Amino acid sequence: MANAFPPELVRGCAELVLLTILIPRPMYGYEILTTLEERGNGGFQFKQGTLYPLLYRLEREGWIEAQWVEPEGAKRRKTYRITRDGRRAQRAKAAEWRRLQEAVEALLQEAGRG
Amino acid sequence: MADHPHPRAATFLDALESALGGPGRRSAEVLAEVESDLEAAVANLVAAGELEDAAWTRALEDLGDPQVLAAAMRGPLPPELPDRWMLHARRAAAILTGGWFALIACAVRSWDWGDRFGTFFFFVGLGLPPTLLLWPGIVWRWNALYSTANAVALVVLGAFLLNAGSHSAVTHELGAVAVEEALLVEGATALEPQEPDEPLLEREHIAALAALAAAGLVLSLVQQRAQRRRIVLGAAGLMLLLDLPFTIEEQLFAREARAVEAWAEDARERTGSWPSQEQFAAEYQPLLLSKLRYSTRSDTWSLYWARALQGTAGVGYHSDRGFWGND
Repeated sequence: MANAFPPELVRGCAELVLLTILIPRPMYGYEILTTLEERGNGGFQFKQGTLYPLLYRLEREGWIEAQWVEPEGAKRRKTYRITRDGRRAQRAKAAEWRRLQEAVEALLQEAGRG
Repeated sequence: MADHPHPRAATFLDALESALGGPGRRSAEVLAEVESDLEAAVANLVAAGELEDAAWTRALEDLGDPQVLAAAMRGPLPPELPDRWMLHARRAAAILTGGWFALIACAVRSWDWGDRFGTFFFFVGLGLPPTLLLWPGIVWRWNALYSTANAVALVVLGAFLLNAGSHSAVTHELGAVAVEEALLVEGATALEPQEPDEPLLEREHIAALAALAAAGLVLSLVQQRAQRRRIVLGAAGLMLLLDLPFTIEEQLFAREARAVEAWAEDARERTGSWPSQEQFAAEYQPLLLSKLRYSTRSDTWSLYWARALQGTAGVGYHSDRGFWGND
């Protein structure tokens, strides 16, 4: 897609993005993908194949927890919810991201003035 | 063989299962998740106007090569839990192992006066690693560099701290037989803390204990944060519980020894010599502890009490050399 972010840029913030998207409510794998696509205006082009290893890594760190749920009239799904440690990690990663963003922005402004 | 109505999905799921190491509870769970998300993706594409067959093709393409997907999953996948009976058996074995080493740590604590150093190394060094390794389903944070660097640093630091300026871990030792003899033989002399013939723990023992303690600490460090917090708080709480009764014993004995000291000083002022064992038995009214053993020689006196919690060990007070512990 034309407006998709470059994969190396997405890789650098993938954990932050996944943790952030799980803050409001638990979601299952495919729901995470569609929500990311909507929220990122098509910029986040995660594929299912890249999502699972990322989710398992976050689970292993103890930042998210998985649970099988069976909603009424729907199929059984594995949903992920963010843990307390996950929220702490999300805050730390968000702060790092903002610092990086400010530093890059400052560089760009300086270059623009020069 | 995956039981799926769509042949290409069934082929993909079969390939993924075999790439994950064949049938098993862990691969079954992964397959169920992938299958459920695959069906949701197809339903979404069909709702958006795509033909069902094309939707399956696209959804499967998004998953990529099953071999590559399995290889990417295998690393971060949480370890598979054993069967229920094995789960309970391993938990019970871990608790028994931890409990056994807690008892050893108690014995070590009773050997010396106020010494918590040995208890820590016996408990954290000998007890913690097997307990953690036996406990099922602990999810390790897999970062070899992080773990190795910590392990090396802790082993070196532990060995250094334990060997710095010390030639023996046990400074005072007097066997129970010696205590009895000193008290029963006529003209008994005051019990004195003595240097042991051979140090109980040689340097290499201490270094091994330090290395094991480092291993215990590293095993705690490579846990998930929440898990590590539980382990560290649990171990610290247990250490406190183990130590508290011995510390209380020592506080009670210290108060008793001060009272005996005041009584003996008073008697010495009156008679010009330390009171005898017979005088002690007849005149001294114990404050807090019973079965105190008092002995004297011309210029010194001592008090000994076998620990209530660990009868083979005891604590003593010597008028010149202060408090000491007896193994």
